[in-house]
Amino acid sequence: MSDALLNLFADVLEVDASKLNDNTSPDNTSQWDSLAAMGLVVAIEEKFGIQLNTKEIMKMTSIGLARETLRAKGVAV
Amino acid sequence: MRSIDAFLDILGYRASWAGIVRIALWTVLFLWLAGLMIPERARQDLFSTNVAGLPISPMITLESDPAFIRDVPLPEKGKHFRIAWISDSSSILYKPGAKLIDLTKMGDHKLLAVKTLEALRGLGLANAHIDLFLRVSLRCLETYTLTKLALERHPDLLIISVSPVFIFNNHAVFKGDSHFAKASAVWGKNIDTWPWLFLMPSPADHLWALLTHRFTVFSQAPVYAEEIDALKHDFWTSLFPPLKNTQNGEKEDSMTENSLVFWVIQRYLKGDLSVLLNDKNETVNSKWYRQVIRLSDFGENSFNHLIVRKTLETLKNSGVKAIIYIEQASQAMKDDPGAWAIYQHVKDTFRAYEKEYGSDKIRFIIDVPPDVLAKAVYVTDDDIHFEQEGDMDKFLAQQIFELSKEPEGTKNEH
Amino acid sequence: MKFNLDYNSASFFVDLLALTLLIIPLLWVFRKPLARHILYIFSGIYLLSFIAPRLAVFYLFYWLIVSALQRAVYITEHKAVSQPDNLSAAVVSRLVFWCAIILTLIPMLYWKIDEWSLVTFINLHANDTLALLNKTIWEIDLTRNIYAPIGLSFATFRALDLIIKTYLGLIGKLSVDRLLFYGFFPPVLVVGPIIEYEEISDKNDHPGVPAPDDLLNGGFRTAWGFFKVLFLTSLLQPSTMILSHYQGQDVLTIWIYLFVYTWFFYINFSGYSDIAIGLARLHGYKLKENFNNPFFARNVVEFWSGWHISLYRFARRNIFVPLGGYRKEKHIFAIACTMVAIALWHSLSPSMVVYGFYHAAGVIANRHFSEWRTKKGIKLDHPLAQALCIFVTYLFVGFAFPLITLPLGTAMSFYAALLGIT
Repeated sequence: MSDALLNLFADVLEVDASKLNDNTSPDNTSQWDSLAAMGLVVAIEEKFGIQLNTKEIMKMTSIGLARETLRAKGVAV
Repeated sequence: MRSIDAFLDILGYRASWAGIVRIALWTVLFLWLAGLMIPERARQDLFSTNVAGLPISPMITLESDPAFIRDVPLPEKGKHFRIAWISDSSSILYKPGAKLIDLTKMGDHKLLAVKTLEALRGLGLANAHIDLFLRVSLRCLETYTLTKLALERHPDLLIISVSPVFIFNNHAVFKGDSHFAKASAVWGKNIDTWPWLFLMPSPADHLWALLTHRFTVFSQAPVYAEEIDALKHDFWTSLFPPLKNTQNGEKEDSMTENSLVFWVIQRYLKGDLSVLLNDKNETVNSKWYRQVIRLSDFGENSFNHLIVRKTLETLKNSGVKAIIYIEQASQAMKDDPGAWAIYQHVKDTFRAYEKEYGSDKIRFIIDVPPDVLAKAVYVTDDDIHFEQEGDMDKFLAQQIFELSKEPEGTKNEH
Repeated sequence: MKFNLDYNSASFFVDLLALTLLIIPLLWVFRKPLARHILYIFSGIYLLSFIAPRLAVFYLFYWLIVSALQRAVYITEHKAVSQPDNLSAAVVSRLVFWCAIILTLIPMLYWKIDEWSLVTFINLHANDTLALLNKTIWEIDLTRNIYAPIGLSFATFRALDLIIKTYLGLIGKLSVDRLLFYGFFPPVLVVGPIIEYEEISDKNDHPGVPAPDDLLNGGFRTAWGFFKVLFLTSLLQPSTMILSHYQGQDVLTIWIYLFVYTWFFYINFSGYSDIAIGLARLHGYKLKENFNNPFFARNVVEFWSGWHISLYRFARRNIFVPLGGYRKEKHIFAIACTMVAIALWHSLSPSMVVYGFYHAAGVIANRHFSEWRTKKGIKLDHPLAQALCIFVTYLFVGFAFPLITLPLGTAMSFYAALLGIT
């Protein structure tokens, strides 16, 4: 598995990366609670060296949407 | 319950169209079988104590029973002169000081129908029988439905009493929660009332009507309602300690049917209640009715007009002898000339109807001779309801007696 | 003069059930999305008009405004995104967004602040509007009871969610039929759940007609919901008496009644959700769950992810996150605001403020407790420990239930009686 974003989510959520895909969201993944989300935001910002604003964080309601948001910021994921 | 999918997966059950049809058939079969196991019981009514031992059958079921009328055997035609009497609270003779709408104490009051029956016997019509379609707060549309229901029993004579306050009241064409205003089973029989099926009865009303007429389980449910409530109560008291009868805070009376009150107070009185109150801040019935009668709509295209016409057409086409009488308001209503004028207008409108529909078989009683009501006593501060009817019973009996002598006719040509 | 504005949602659902029997076969005729949307919009309006036609008028007016606002938000946001250097486009987009949020919220806020005045306003004016349309329908409307704007809290949050998602670029410009379809989707009109647009949009290759398993599951789910709402709750109904008759009762009796009351409340509310979800499924729509065994939650956070989930999810997406809930320094503040907002959504009353802070305190305490626990390496895996967690959570949650229905003063005197303080 070479997908950097999936691996990041897998690490923070403590879920096997093979169980994650672009449709993974807080609604279908109990590990993705607000504490984990806090960790996700920090991890994404550190790993990709970017700053996320509120609108961008609000948008990231699934891994696919997180990917889309990061791409829009010029991050290759 | 969220795991129905998972549960069916475990069973290895796959839903199919055939399966859905099977479930539907089993359901119908089960409902039918359940109906066989329920002993059928007679439906209750409000007036049995008032008419005990008399040839009067109270016809209307208790609230919201989609069966509409009780299963009362028809008295033999020929042996009896069968009268169907459709009326609202104005034909209840109230015990002095009683609350008008306390339905639990109907036995305290007397009925105009009972007195009229006695008077009829005095006139020599000894074999009269009355189907009593009496319901408090009857409105224009309910009167129509009851007319249809009454005619299904082929009476010799039909009496319809008309409330001058409500007959043209376009803010209360029917009572919002009355099941006679959602009578899909009755209106479905005539193509000209089909549009009503989409306007007044809701989809659930149609469903209940259908189930009531097809399955004993549903038609008997209202009869057993009280018993089921008692069982639930027993269940509760067997498990949990009863509460001591205390109440914190004041219990507020609130209205269930609140719309007419709302329109009168918020739209026409602009929130100013004082018009309806006495010195003690209590609502005065007569003042209330005088406001309500002001909502009469005499326009030819009003819904009320349409319904009254339909009612009269139905009567005319049935060929049944009929008396339509306007409930006589107390002279005290003259204190409010505006209300009195509208009352007169109601009467004038019925005079016009009389010209159109009146015949030797359809008799309109719009005014009564003054001496008829000379000894009548109205409920305190009330223009409509009687405590004592004066000679109204004798007057009505005389009218019925005269009509009973008219030759039996065929259907009126239309 | 006291007006009773109570409405029994069960009658709406029986109407919808009866209408469903008619609609389902029609779905094979109305295969095109537009036709189907129109069928559902008419169904929703028709059903609302049996509560009172004026209510349908009010909602039509409301959702048409939401439709216009949604377009405005989409157009301005689209412009701002496509012209990143155009500062004024960004400002306009923000301005339009905030105006849309405020306008969408106004009727609900007005209702919560001054119920009687809004009820009078809506009932009078929506009825006046009907007089312009059709005299007979106006006359029928006059006979229908006076009600509060039933379902407005749910509709408002559905509309807000739509506008926020549009602003975030998650939803495109919706045609009027799609938007009204979302606004009038019958199963969720009176008591929620607060669905998201994606739950009923056509995007997941929705076939437009239900499959046999939809009918089977939907049918059972609906039946289960009706069983809960009409039968189980009627057995437990006497427990509600305790809220008005607590004075002079034994302490133990009050506790027992409160215990049953919490179950009455839960079974009633979740029963309505079962019916809504079941009926939607009968039409082929899979809505998200609204309850997940809340009374067996092991902590307050778990309770909220199992109780009225659609509201909790809404609050998390649209209140907690924008307030900085995912930033460590604002986390606690965001929790407090979110819980208070959830509470105030029910009613703007002092007791709901207390309710909100009470639950906020519970969630924050739980956060600190689990941090402390992780640090100390304490595990709660033993079944007894789990059972204790469930019990304590239930006690915490159930204790606050009277606040939902009682005014603060009465609630305080209820608690005094509950704790045996005379």
